[in-house]
Amino acid sequence: MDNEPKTPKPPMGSPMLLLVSIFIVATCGLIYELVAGTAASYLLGDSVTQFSTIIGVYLFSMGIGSYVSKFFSKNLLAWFVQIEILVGLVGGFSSLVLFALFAQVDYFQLVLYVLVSLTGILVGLEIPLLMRILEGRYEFKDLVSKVFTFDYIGALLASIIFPIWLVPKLGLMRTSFFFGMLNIGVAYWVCYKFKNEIAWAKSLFSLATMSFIGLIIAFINANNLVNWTESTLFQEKIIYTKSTPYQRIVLTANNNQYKLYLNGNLQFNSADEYRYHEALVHPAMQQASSKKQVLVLGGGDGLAVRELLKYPDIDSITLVDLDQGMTELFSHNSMLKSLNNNSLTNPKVTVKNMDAFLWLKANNKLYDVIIVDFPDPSNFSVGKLYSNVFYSYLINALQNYGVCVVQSTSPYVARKSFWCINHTMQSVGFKTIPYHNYVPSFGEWGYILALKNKTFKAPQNFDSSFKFITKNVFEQMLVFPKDMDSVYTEVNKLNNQVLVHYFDEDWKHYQQ
Amino acid sequence: MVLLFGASAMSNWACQPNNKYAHIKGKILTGNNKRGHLLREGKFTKPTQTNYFDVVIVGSGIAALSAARKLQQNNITNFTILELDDTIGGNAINGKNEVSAYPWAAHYLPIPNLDDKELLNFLQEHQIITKIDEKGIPNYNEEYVCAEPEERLFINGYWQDGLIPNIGISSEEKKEIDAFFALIKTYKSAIGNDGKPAFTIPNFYSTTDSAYTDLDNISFYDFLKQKGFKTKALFWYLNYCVSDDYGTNLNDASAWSGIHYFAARKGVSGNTEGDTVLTWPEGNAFLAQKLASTLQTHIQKNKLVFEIIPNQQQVEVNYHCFEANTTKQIIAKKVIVCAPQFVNKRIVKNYPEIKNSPFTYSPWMVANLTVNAYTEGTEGQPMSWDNVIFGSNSLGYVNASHQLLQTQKPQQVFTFYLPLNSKTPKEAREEAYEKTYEQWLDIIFEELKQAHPSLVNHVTKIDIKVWGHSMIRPTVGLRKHLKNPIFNEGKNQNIFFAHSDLSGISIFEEAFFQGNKAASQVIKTLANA
Repeated sequence: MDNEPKTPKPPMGSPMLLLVSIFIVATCGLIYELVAGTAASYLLGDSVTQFSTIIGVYLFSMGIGSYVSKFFSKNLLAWFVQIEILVGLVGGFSSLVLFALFAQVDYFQLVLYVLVSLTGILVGLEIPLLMRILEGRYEFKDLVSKVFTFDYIGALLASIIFPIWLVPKLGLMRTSFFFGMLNIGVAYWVCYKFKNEIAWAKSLFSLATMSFIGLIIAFINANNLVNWTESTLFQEKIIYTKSTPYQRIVLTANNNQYKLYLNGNLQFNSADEYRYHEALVHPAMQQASSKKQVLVLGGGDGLAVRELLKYPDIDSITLVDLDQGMTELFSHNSMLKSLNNNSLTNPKVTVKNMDAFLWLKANNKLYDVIIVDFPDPSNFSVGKLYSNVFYSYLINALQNYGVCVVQSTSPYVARKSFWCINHTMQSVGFKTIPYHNYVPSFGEWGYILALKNKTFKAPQNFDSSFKFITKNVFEQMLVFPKDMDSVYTEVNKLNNQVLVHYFDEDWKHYQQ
Repeated sequence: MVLLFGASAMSNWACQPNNKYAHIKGKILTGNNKRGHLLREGKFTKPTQTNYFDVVIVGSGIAALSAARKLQQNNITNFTILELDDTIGGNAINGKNEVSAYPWAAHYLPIPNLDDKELLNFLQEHQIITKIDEKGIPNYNEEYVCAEPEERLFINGYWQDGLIPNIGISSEEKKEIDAFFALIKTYKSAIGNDGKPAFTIPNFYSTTDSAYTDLDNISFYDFLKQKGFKTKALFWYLNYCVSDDYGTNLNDASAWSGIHYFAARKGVSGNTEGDTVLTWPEGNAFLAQKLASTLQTHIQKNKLVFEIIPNQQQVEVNYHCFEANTTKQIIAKKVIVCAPQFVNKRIVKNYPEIKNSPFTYSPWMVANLTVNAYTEGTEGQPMSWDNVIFGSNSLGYVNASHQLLQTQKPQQVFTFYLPLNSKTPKEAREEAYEKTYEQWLDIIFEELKQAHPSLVNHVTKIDIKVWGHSMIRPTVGLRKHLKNPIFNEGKNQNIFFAHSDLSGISIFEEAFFQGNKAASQVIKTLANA
């Protein structure tokens, strides 16, 4: 060797410990890459693209790290310890950062790739620095052989335990916190072993201790960070949760499907929501003689508005949804915006975050079409929004000859509830046309089309771009099989709330 | 400055022991107690100015406003209403904050009986009744009908539906409750020997048959004992009922009044249950404002009438004006005195009969609590309009925000009612006036603790009002005094009396009836003159 060190460095003691630390460093490095790939697949869908781009960016960043390593010439041990601490922190907190920022930032991909690059660069520095530290303490051919052997064994171990044990048992967040702690453990060990050679060993010790404590606290509180129990409850990966003053919003992802839950009730599944939203919006729009002014009550996800915006003759859409947390989420999050085609930020759309009942009572404008998309009447608060008093304000907000449609729960599971909504709407003077379709995520689903001073004409012109509804399909939707057909119900009033009682009974039967 | 600072630091320090309520804002509101008490001292100057009216109405409670409405509808417009306070409504007053309006006393009207035509007319005038069908059955505005869920009772650790004890009580207790209601059923349909109903509202129209009127000579408690009732659940429930409507306990209330509570209401409605109630966030202030909607130019506030002197042809009304601090006089052809009799005995001259009648009034404490939404984890029926705790001395609380139409209510106002009926009214009244704000808060949280152990952490504001004389007490033997002609045909054809205490029962329907009755007499005697 040309550049044999002038003064041989002392050997490291047990080579086993050295090999263990290389092994750990290598395992951690691969785990962070897998964490980033998995989180990106959960959050953004399309796992092939996510894994492929993330592996690419990660490996390339490791290359940058290796290149940069030559600029480190002094205090290599101290640098190595610091880099280990940094890797532990950046890698350890990477999944928390990704989940936390997903719903908050407009350019999530940018955050994702910056984080992946940073981790890659730091991990890329580790092995070259370690080799240079060990240079002269071992024979070079031994060194290269051992380091890379354990590097690759670590990678194998990581890739096996990650899907089999870590993700199912620990979850993504705890996995990354745990491996962050391992990185810091290596930093400790190096610090301890070389305390005489590292100038500021003491301060590095305390830095490592603080980082370690931070990760332990995060690990213990991981339950709160991604609500562990909910994740088991939903049987899906939770990618976003938020408790607003009004409800708990949970967004999950699985196999490229996104599901939105409000207070634990499924609102939509991205895979088949078009069946629901086309059925909700287009029959009413086909009935309307004028389509200029449209009102949407509820529907803060913007998916009904997406369907409405397919009609160029609409002048304005007013969307009234109580929860600002909901409409903001669907106005700013890039993934959700791609689901609703940016509908909520369309210049024709005005969003009002107000209570629908109060808003409607105070309203004095008339609308051509009103789409009512409230949660199911499972409690007394929501039950009011299906009362005859509410519907009398609704009919007064419609133009003469106006049309409205109300999502009306499942006529199969909640048969009495469905027909109760129908009868309640009739009681205030609507002519009603009940219909239903099949939405795989929901089952048989029902809607009440309601006309003001107008007769029903079978619609002819469903656009060929629609994915579900056609003239023939709609004709079938008007037919109710015997097990879903009309039954006697009382009218739902504020002072009897019979619908909530029906709904309770209907679902109790179904669940038994 | 240093001294001032020192003093305020000291007072802060002195407040430390009470800091469990540091997060709760509010105070005891002092109403017209102090103004009314000026009557006892009687130091008023001679009137400096005299005005002339056909009719003066003294007071602006429900009876007064009802009388004024009736005069106006009969084209008598030369009248004035003199009110002591700076708000109208008497017991039907309210407060309001950023969360909700809330009542300070009377807060609901049961669906009225079909033969109370005058009341049905008033309700129809203001679209509270939306239509009356060809059979005479009214439909009510459903925004004003008490929304579901209406009532719940916290009993044996569970919120049950309805107030009649049911969950976890013994079969013996259940049997007694059933037997009591079977007995009530017979009274409800009973007709006296004069062909009039045994119990009805207004009770002026009920029978004079002694088989029923004699029930006023025995206490409700003794009546129940005589009938063989003995279980705790029934006695607690009935004590709750007479406390709710009358502010008295079972021992003081007459059997007649106790039965009347259950047997006199026979409301019928085309679009709701007949046994429900009409209610508003602001309580009966809603009705007071409707009554007053055409009376604004007639109402004079902050006027203390201290002397009503009947003369041969006319009546002298002397009153103190708080704003100008002057004394004035009105010479009126007729006066309708709508103050309670404990006031009238001081201001109406030459009427010793009033002094000699045994009118007593129940003191109350009412508190309005602003509460952040939270869940306590107790099972059963969710938050209702009326929320009562079994075994409690209080009446529990009414959710003033219940009728608000909005679906989500991050904050609500609860009106907590505490009848002070465990001692004589005088003792209870004096004790109540002495209590500090913190002492009242202790009482409130103690009463609600069973059902809401962590309530104190979720309350942001509590205002308190102590009513010294809020309701006439339908005590044993009161009713024979109500027959006194001075309160009916009138001793002097220029002075008429109208107040719910003259019905012996403090409810909206009776006050409305009394006002209409006195106004009719005024209309008749004015026409004869």
